[in-house]
Amino acid sequence: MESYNDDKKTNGEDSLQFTILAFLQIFVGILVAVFGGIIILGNLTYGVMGAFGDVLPPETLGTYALQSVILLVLGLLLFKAGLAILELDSFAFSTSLYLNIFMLLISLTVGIIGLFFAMLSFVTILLLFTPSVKLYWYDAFKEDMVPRIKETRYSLHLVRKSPLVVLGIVLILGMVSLAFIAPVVAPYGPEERIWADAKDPPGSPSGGKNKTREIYDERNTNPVPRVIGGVDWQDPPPILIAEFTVYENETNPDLGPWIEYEIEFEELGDDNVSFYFAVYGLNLTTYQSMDESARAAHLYYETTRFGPRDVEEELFLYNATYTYVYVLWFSCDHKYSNWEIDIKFTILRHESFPDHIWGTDEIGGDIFSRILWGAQIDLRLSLTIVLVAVSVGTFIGAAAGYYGGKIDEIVMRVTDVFFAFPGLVLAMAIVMALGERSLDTISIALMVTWWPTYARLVRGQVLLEREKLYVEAARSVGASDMRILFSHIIPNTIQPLIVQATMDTGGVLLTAAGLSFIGFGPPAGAAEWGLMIAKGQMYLTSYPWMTVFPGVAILLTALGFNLVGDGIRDIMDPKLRRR
Amino acid sequence: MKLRDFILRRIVLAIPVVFGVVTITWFLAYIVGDPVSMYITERTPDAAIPGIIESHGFNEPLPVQFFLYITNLLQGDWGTSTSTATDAPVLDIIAQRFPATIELALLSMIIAIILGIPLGIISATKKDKPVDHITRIFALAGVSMPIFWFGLMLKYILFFQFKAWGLPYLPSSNRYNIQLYDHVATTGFILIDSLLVGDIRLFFDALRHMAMPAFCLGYLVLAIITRMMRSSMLEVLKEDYITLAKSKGLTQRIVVYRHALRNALIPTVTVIGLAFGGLMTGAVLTETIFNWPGLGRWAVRSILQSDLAGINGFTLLVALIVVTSNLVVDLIYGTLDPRIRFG
Repeated sequence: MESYNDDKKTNGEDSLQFTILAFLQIFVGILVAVFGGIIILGNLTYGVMGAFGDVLPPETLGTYALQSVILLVLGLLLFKAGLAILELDSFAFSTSLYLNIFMLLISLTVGIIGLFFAMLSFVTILLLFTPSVKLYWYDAFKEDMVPRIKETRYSLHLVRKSPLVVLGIVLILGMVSLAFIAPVVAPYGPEERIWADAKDPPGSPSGGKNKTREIYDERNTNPVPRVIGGVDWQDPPPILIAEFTVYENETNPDLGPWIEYEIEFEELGDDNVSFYFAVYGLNLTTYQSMDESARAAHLYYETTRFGPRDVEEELFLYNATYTYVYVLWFSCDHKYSNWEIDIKFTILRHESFPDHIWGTDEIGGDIFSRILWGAQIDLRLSLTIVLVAVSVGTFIGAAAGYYGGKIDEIVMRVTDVFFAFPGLVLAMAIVMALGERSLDTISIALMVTWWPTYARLVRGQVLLEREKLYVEAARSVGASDMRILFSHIIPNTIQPLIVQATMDTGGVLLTAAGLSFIGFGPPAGAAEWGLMIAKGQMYLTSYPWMTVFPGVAILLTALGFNLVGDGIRDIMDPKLRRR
Repeated sequence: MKLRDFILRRIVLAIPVVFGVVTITWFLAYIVGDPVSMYITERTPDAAIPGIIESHGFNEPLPVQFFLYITNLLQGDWGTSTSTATDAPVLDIIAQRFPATIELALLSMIIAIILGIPLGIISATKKDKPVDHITRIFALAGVSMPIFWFGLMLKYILFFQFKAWGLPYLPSSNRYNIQLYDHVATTGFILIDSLLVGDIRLFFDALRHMAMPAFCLGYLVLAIITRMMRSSMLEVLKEDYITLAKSKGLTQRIVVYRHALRNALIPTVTVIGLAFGGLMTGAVLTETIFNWPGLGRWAVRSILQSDLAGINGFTLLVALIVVTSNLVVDLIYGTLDPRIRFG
């Protein structure tokens, strides 16, 4: 991209990227707005149809209720930004940059289709930074940013000096990266269970599951009788001779390969059955070339059984790659029966499964793996909630602070009301009213609970900034309200917002875990920390590890967010800064 | 503004909040949920249901229903909770369980204040020293601790393990030893009741039972108070009058405890009041774990049994408590610091 643009620098106006950027921006705006609108409509229909009770529209329409409003507004703003870019408005570029970064974050919370939106906004950001487009806005933007970058540098310097903030950052980054690499690192799946290992203490080896390879499997119901030598023979073949090989990957230093043979008879009545089973340490061609006495020297295993009895036995083989021959001879003297036979030979491959380093839960789920998977669920949940609450709160708070008057009064009274409810209690009531108990419901409830905090915060900041000279200047050159809000005021209020959001992420995590602890959470079996503690508490006396480890995970994650938030607040505090 | 005007103004300002709180609970229970279920139990005969719908006005238009809801609330009809052994009116259950929760909350608040304020002062006066770091981590751990997990761990160590090791252990459930003592509620606050009767052994037994849940609940508030105390102390210590006091040659001790403390306490008082909401949240989880017969456990049981009336009543009550405590804090604040009144 770099080399392509060198000659375009002089007349950027008709550069290809520029046109693509403007139209992409308009297109994305329309797309996102439409998507948001569809979900809002979907939610409305969902609600209305739900009220009448009979037919429900597809589930997907009923989710992301709050995100959809944000997306609708965001789409409209993007569309406007796109139009402004076409008019070569130099501020539109930086606005578009902010909007796209925000869009990138928001769209990561709305599932698969969000990835598509995220990709689009990523492309837009890339386009913004191609040299021919950069020409229009980058210098002014950079100049604008210099004091802010300076401040940030100084803050980073302070951060480095504060051990607690560094500890917090390490904790957060650790947890986030654990969540990302969980699929690679976790020895077991999120809902994988090994019943044999239930309630194992930390550090115990897995009793293991067997991987199997079938050598022969035959099931015959009411086989057709054949007469051979005056005796009624039945399918399957009375004599079965075949070879099988134990492969390299089926050997195991600890346990070695086993063969399992299983013969079942059903509806046998009084009939007599006898069978003979043998395994020789030979391959088939050698076996057939030898006579009976020579073979006997290589006999590895032999058994004869009489009577109508099912057999199921396991037999240990050499722990090396080797070829065997097995012989099954089979007789049955009945004449008139209705029966079934089932013969099965399998090689059991005992794999060494990873140890349960933090023990297992009551039904054999590996605690360590489940905590890793839980990091994914819990972090995504709390980040989504905070992100959506911040955006809703910012929007409402900014509007209230900027326009003042009646809107402000109403918004503040509404936030007052919300502040009267402690987070967990209101969330409980909302989940209860919504009826369904799942992670989605929890996240909607907590988003509704949390936005007033940010609305208050942003409103206060906007009130401070509104009267400043630069806003007055922007207004006097005829900038629109939206422009002043989004490209001047909000970027200046972002710092306290980030601090508050960081601290709240820990709180949201705790509340969400608390909700799922009381029984509002995802269905039993999901790898969610609060739920794991809830399940583990019943076994607290005898198997404390089921409770201890998930709790430590919650504690460390929340501590990380609180350490960072607390530290940054101290660093940002103008009263404590630079004395 | 005179103090009287200030108080009146604050009380008038609280009225729309209460109205909003009622609106939200109404909205949640009547629009999103199914309101009829609040007045119907499994024992209600089918034939009576139309009558209940009629008498509670569920067939009326929504504004009328809202008006009826408020009337019912004011008349003390908060619905029937189905999550207790016998179906009982919500208000009766609240009256019966309220003392247990408030007693626990107050005790944990006392613990938090007694420990939190000195910790905050120490942390502020020794800023950026190891003591400060330790205190801050201790305080932040309190905010980051999942309270239900902390309760379980306390119970595991102080009850199960201490019992297993043969050490003196703390009891892990109930308000007092039901097998040994007979308690008839007069005020409902067991510590007061036992003193009224003069049963000192019951008093100490109840205190022993309260120790673990109260500490568990108090740790969160303790953390909040410590943090607030630290930062307000730091702020006050930078003021000019402190510099003056120091330059007069007063000792650090006198400067901190006589000059700074009084001013630093004002924001902390606010936080203590605001922490009441946090205590109510904590009570829900703590009471579940320590089997404490208070409001929180009732709320959780209502959730598990889908008892809409119970949840609605609990939410409303908690919100009213929070509004009241905020109002009280505002009034105290205004009385302590005249600048607020005129600002």
